[in-house]
Amino acid sequence: MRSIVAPLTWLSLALFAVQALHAAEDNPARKRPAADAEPAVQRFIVKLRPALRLQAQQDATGESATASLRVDNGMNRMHALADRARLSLDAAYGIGPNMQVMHVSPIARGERPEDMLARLEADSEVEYVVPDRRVYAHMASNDPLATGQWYLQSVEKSAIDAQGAWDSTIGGKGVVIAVVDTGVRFDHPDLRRATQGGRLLPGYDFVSADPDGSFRTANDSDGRDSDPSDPGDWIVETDNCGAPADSSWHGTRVSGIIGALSNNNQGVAGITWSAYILPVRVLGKCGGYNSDVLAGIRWASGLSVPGVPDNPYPAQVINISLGGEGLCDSASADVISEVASRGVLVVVSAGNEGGPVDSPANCPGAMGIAGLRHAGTKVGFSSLGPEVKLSAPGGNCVNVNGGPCLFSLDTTANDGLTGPGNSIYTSQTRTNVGTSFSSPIVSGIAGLMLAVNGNLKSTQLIARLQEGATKPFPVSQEPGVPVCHVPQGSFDIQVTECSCTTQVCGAGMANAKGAVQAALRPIAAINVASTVAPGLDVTLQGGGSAAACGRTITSWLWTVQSSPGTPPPITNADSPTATVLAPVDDTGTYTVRLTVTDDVGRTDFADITIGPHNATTSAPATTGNTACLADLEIPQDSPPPSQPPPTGGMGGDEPSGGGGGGGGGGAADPVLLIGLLVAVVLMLAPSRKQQRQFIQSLIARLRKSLSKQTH
Amino acid sequence: MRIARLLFLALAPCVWLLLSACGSAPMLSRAEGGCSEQIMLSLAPGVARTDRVIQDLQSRADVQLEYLRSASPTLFVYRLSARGKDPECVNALARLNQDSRVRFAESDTRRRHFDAVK
Repeated sequence: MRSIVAPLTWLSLALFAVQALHAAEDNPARKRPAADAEPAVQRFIVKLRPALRLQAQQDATGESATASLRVDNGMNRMHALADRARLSLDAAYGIGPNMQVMHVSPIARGERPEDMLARLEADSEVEYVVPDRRVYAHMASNDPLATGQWYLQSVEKSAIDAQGAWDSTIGGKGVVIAVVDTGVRFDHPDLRRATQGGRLLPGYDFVSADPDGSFRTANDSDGRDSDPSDPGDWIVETDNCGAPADSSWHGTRVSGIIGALSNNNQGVAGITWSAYILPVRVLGKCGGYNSDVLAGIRWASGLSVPGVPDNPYPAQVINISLGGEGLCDSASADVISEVASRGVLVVVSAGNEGGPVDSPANCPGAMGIAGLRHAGTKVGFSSLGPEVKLSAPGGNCVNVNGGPCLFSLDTTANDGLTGPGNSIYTSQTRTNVGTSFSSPIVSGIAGLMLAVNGNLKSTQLIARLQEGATKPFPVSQEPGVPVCHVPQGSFDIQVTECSCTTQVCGAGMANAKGAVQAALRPIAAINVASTVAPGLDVTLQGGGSAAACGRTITSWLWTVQSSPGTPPPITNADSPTATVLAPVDDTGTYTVRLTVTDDVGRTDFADITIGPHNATTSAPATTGNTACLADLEIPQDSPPPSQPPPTGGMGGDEPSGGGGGGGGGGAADPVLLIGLLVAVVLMLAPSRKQQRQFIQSLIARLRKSLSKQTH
Repeated sequence: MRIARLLFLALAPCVWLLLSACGSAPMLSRAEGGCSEQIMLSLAPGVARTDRVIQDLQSRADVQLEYLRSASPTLFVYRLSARGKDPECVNALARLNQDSRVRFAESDTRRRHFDAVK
């Protein structure tokens, strides 16, 4: 038995190690040389104290001066330093005044680099010393249109530095981001179905019948069903819902920003390269009903919706680039808070009126996102207000007289004016702007964060997105650009550029690199393991805290933060579980802080207030055990007999059906298909009797169907 | 074969018409001279959505409620109809909301995406 157990244990440990390594370095496009892990020669950057100042110091203290100080020669000083630190100096060269790079190896074999560093740091001649780390060029995708995706880069003030974030992670296949929108074009080659190696999960269509029983809004001849394909949402005069407009393909554009297939030598890059997108169709022609939006939000989060099969792929992030004017209605407040309390991040566009934040972005629990110009000021159309949590690029054109739209947000799209046409990309001439595209930028960043720390829940994601944001907002130097103000009502519109403040544009400008760094910190959790009574011991547990994926928590520290009198003692203050004494009355209430540190020195803290009868904290009792989210299991379709060339015609790999004309039926017309089927069957029927029977059964079925519709 | 083709020619339009009819339920009649709105209704905790409760709500608020679908186990979509001059059923909704069994009743407003005008 023992002979079997031992190899199995080693195998398990090996698999665990592989898993941890995989989680820690999740960027296949950024390979580190294996030798970099434990090089024999260590490289340090050393800043030496100025020799003359040091000489004067030593003269004053009577300390004996070394030979290296008498001659202010960098090389001599480096040799002397190495000698004193018991290191063998292999090479040294200057990179600035008193700053040298030294290549050293230990005289004692097997010495750890941190011990060598500590001896150098302790030398009186050294101001500071840091490891000379290998650095890499910022990760960039090979997608040909990525160079135009200014918002992913770091040059413009509001750009999110996704390239910097990709150095740490390109996302994870355990993350699901729902796009509650107009549906999606599954045939876009830069999106595609997950079963065909793409990003798109099956999703669901929640667009119900209109009040008159028609499917004018749905525009796909039926109500709720399992097909969230976007049939188009073009508007004609007779639709009576505003000016005629071409189809928007809005959900396809939003999806591309979040997670277009990336580094595939085609089209654009998404913010996350690996997360799955769950298309939830709730809008059609002339928008959609709030009830369908709310049903779609619930379903996306994994909650049940009567009459609809449960979602097999619940989302951790829900993107909502839609809304309506007015305060948060009761139904939206209910649903958003219900979903957010499950830990799901609900990211919502603020609106495009330049006025108060629309609903549901203004609902408690939602993360409202305002739109920025490339320069970091509020883009004219973006709504604004205290409900905004963060801002992100919304696209702006600069040229207003017909020139190219310089700061459009490039993404996936379709060129069909009514029904679906060819798959295309937006550009400076096929522009794409709106707060609709600010929120998917944030949703995509949240997807990256979850890839490195899958335990993060809605409130933590919001806090860390804000923590990692670029601050402060730039103040426009252009004459006549005002500072934005809190709208006083729906009449108070600011439709021109204004300088953002934290009162109206949230905590800052979304920054992917900063947010991922914030996500990499551990999560502190506190559980009160005993009842709280005056003057008695209270047991506090921090063992439910968790580190990011691939990391472990190495230390716990409990400290008294604020106390009215002498700080009360803490027993086991450096352990996961500590004990404190509850005060005898309210006047003695005090606050304890738990600080957790992981194996690379990243920290998080949580506070708990200890009163005579209770202990209150906003920290979770436990963090969860899904720091590394497991990849979704997506069954793959067998490849089609002939694939279209990847860079050739962009018509897609699925039949788009009819609807190319004006006012037609949108996608594949079932009436036409059934008519053709009837014709074929009739032609094939061998006798008149069988033809008759077929027709009778068809009519019976239609009667049944009609009766079902009218009940 | 010829008969089959003739039959198809005769029947195809019928099939088309019949199937088209399947796609649209009959128009729901508006209350005479009144209002008709699609609303969302949530009942107070502990109140079950039974026929009796809905009938009682209708009679007390002097409205008609026609169930359409559910957005969640506790959020229901109804067509609200009421008599009298009441644009957008504001008064009818107010009467419904006065009933203690109603947590809230509000108009099922339309939502639009935030694709900006260029």
